[in-house]
Amino acid sequence: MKSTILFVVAYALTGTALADDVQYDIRVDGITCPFCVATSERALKKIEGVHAVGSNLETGTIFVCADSQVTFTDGQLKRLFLDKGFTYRSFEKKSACSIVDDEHDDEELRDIPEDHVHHPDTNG
Amino acid sequence: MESPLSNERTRVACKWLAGAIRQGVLAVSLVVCFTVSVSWAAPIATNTALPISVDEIIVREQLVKTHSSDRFGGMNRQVDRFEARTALGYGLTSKLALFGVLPLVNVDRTFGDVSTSDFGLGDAALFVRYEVFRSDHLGRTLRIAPYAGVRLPSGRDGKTGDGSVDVFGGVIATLARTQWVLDNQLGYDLNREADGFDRGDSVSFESSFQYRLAPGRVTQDTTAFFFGVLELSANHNERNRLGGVSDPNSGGFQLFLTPGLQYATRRWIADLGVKVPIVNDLNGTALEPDYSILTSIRINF
Repeated sequence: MKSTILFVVAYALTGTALADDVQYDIRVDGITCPFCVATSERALKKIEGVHAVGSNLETGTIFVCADSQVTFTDGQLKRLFLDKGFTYRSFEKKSACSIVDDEHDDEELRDIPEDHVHHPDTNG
Repeated sequence: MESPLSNERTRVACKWLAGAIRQGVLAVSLVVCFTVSVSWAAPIATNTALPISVDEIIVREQLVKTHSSDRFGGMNRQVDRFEARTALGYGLTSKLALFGVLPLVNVDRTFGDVSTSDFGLGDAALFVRYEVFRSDHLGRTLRIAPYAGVRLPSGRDGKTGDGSVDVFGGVIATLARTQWVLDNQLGYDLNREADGFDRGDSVSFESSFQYRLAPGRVTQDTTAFFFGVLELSANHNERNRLGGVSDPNSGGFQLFLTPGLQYATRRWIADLGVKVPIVNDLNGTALEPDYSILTSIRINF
């Protein structure tokens, strides 16, 4: 019972912290190594309201966790990735973030432990 | 007090050294004249067509040690050349990148019992690279980019530089995947005359294959790649001309193989390679490069 209460409190707190966050999964072609994707990640991090950025080279996806007020457009992303030397394809907006930024130089990204993930309703 | 024999030996040595500067040392410099690539991809001794982001700066510090010796043992000539090359790359637009290379050079020459050493700035190079073709797909890209530049006589004439303003250019094609990268470069160096010395023009072809050894599988947690690298370089150098006369002991064809390793993270890339000649078909008594050791680190700002 005690652990259940603690879980509910923790869930509520983390839920509050991340409640307004959204995630953009951005498909980019031409990224092939950690070194080359880093400049794009840094550019995205500079955008106000962006909390964390990660990538998966195998799927050609860059993940951006940001305030819900942050909005991207195809034109904006096309321009950004063109400047970085890559080709923007599309993005998908999700109602919850699944990444965090550990703020290390390597900008290593890890999955958020399941008990810290906010699970909003499917309507976002 | 030096003996006449010693004086004679010194005089001969100095004469040879002057020739060596014109022949061997500069021939050796050709070996390393294109060993700096400042772009972010993986080649150790060649260039790449992969991009530098707009307003991004990449700095590469490369150390190159080259040992050359006499093919005809009786003369006992040896040259050890050490270069610390600082290279900068800047993305001016999404297609156009500017590069600058400034080497610091130390050359130790031995002729018999006589040794000399020169240290100082080498000849700086400035060049531009423009991407003319790009084909991006999921996890792979193909880029083709011509380049052109100028080499300036910032080194000491006849010591750490050759005194002339040279121009060079070529084209680079890069095919990159997350598993491997292939860079190919065809280049031409148009070397001009200075103080009566005209280093022979050269044409070169370089190919670099980098294969990801680790990790075996790329995930969202992957932050670094470890590559095995194998590079092939072919150079044909025209004979030098001294006072308008062709030097029979200069120029020729060389083929090099460079196995190496590279570690690439999000922020920096470090590499190490050993460049060894497979074919040294040099003219006359030109010095023959035995090996070069190349190591570098590049940082993305």
